[in-house]
Amino acid sequence: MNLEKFKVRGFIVEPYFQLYQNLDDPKAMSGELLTRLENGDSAYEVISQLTIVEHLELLEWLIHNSNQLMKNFGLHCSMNIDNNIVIEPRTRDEFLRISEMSERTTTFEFTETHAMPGAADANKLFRRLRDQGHSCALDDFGTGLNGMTLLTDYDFDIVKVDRALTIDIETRPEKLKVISLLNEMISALNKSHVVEGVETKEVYDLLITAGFRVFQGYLLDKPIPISELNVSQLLKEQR
Amino acid sequence: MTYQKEPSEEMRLEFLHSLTILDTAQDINLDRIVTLCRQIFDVPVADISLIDRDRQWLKSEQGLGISETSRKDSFCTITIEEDRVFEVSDALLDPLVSENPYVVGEPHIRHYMGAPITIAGFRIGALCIMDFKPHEKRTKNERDILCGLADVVAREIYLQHLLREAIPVVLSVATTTSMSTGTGTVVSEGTGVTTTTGVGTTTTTGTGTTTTTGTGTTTSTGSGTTTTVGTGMTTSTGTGTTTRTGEGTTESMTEGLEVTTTNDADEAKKASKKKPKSKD
Repeated sequence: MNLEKFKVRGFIVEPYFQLYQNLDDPKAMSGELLTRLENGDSAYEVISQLTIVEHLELLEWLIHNSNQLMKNFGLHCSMNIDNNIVIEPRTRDEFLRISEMSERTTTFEFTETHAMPGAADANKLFRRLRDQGHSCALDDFGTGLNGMTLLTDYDFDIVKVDRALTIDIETRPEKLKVISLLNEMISALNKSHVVEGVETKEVYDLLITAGFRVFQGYLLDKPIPISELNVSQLLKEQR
Repeated sequence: MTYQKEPSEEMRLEFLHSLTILDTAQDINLDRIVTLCRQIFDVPVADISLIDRDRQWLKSEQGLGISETSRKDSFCTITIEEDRVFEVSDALLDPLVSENPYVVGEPHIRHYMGAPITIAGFRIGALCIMDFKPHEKRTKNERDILCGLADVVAREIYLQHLLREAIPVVLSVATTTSMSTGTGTVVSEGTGVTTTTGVGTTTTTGTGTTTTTGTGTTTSTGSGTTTTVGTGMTTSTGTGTTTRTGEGTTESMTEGLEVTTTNDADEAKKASKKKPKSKD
């Protein structure tokens, strides 16, 4: 398997890694394993058109990359899962077979913008992933109304707070108050969080005052092609 | 072993499922209580068992190393049949459980004591202790301790459920223009768009569009468009368009048009009229 390139439908997808900043554990070394097209553009359009079989192949490739990152750099990876993979029981089992190959402490992200299986089925799936040593994250939380039941009924370990919820908090103090309360509630439910899309220092500082501790964004660390990753660079990135 | 199917079994299951607790991750506080049970009663096994339609699922478990069993093989399904502690001093001598596969086979359970976990009148499961050797009959004090801990478990599960329910409310407010949010007593007064979200007592007085969302006692008074959404005691007084959605006790006083009233209690639906006061 060529870890540096994944060929699908005439496109070449390459792996990137974006480190999270964790104020409670500066040596946490975890982040998101992302995909980009060969020219650096987003692979979103291409990936969203894949069939379930192609998604599973992509997942297997991502997991091999993730295992490699763990082995070489001690990095914990979080990766996106297309919700369609887990809708049907049959492909859900196939997904669990592949996730089993992954190093422990991998995080699988499910987006709130696509349909999920019912809460009972999803929670059973999450339980099996947890038994394998993995975690489940709710991605893009706050972008759609779906997110509400996804947070109340689905047993995610991690909530990835979308930029939609943190946008213009610098001009709207009341929104900051709500975000702060939301953070407390997420903690009270024993869930972790990652705030996505942190792009300015002002917003970053406000989010810290609101109680958030784990961040992902261009301001802190940019996605780096995996081929260009090296330990000293990552250590330097850690503040 | 059989369990008696009560007329309310479907409602009990529906309630249990509405808590969305089945198959969820371990909870640190519930695990603490299970540890306490093992320490207090000096037994190797304790668990929090939730009784689903055909299975018992263990939210927290110590000493057995299993996460679920079929319901028919469960001791706890007997416990939830009645509102009392169910105790087995020696399983081999108790006709209710002497044929149980976990008694005749591995791990050879001999002693059991369980107390129902009751939320909103539904016995959703049991907190129980077990031993692989028989035990003399437990004292009243010991039974009371187990019941007390089962009540703590019930409240912990319920509070966590309420907290999850409150999150969407908080979120919806994140997109609103003028608002106050809090836990405890929350009061806000305003002219124009006034929105209040609270857990506990929530009161809003406004002219113009008035929206109140609360868990606990929720009161909203407004002229113009008045919207109140509440779980618990919900009161809404408005001149103009009044919308009220409530679960629990609902009171409404309206002059003008009352647009929608959705209420879980059917009586309240009937009682809600356009005239000055309706109460249930």
